[in-house]
Amino acid sequence: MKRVLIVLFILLVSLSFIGAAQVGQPKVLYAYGKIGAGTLAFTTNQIQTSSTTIDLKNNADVQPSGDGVLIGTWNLDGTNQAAEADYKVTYSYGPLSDGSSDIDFELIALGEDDGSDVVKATNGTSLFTANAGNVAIVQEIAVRLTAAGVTAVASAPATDDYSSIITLTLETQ
Amino acid sequence: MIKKRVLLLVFLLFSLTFLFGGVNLSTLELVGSILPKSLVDISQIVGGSPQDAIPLDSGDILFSESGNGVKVGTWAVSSNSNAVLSLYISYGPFEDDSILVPYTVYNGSNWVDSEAKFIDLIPNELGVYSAEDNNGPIYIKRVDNNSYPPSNNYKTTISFTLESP
Repeated sequence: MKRVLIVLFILLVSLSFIGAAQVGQPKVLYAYGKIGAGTLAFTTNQIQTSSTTIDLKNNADVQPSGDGVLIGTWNLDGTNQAAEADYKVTYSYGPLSDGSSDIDFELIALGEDDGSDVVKATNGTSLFTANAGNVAIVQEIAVRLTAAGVTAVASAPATDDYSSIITLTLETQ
Repeated sequence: MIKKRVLLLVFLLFSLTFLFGGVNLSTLELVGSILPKSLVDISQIVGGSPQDAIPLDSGDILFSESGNGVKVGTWAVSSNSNAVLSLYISYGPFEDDSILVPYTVYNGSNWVDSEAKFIDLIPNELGVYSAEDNNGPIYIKRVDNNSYPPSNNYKTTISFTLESP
């Protein structure tokens, strides 16, 4: 028993020399940091303009069997979003018109469904989730004629004035 | 009887002391000591309050920026200890409501992990440590490009400890 105590004592003394000795009390610095308020912007980027009108009769991509003609994108850009959030974009549009003749078309969200294109009728929607933190979502939008649109084109007067307004509305879910 | 003899002897000795004045020597010994004393001084430059919080999502603190990050304070150590001294650092990530924003610390020469030696102190010619010889900056810099929720209340604690190996 006595030997054990002696060995224990020697071990304790040895260990006290191995470890570094703290000198005085620690000094502490408390620092505050900040992450700025988040921003969120929903914008469109128009590729097709009045100077680059689509040839509704001869452009193969704009025909019902075509891939569609890219007319632009919508973008959701955010910074410092506090939490993941669900959003809905609603598409609203009428036919191409010069004021007297209407030409039906359909809107396509390119690659929306895991790379597959999805047709959006008017009042159709896209649902998506934005992560917390920074957000940068881009959705390409294309258009092509419907079968009725092709029929209308066949008998429509020749003019560059066929136009339509596509309204996109972003809502939180 | 013995008591009387002892008293007589003391009297004789006492008398002899005066008879031969200046022959005896007596000394006083003075012993002085200086206790070791060390002072670690930490001065904060920014981030001392939520109102003065350090921007974590812009400026030099960003991982993507070149440079040493943001200077949050300075350190200085003075000590009359004759032991070998080093300054150690301990820190955790900025935290707010379980959101953690990690960062690292720069001492002006090297990047220093938490629970590591921040710097070795330099004694002067007298073998003690002066604040003039032992001081420097404290920089912090983020270690990722991740985004985090907005808040002015991310908080971190940086602790400095003087140690002798």
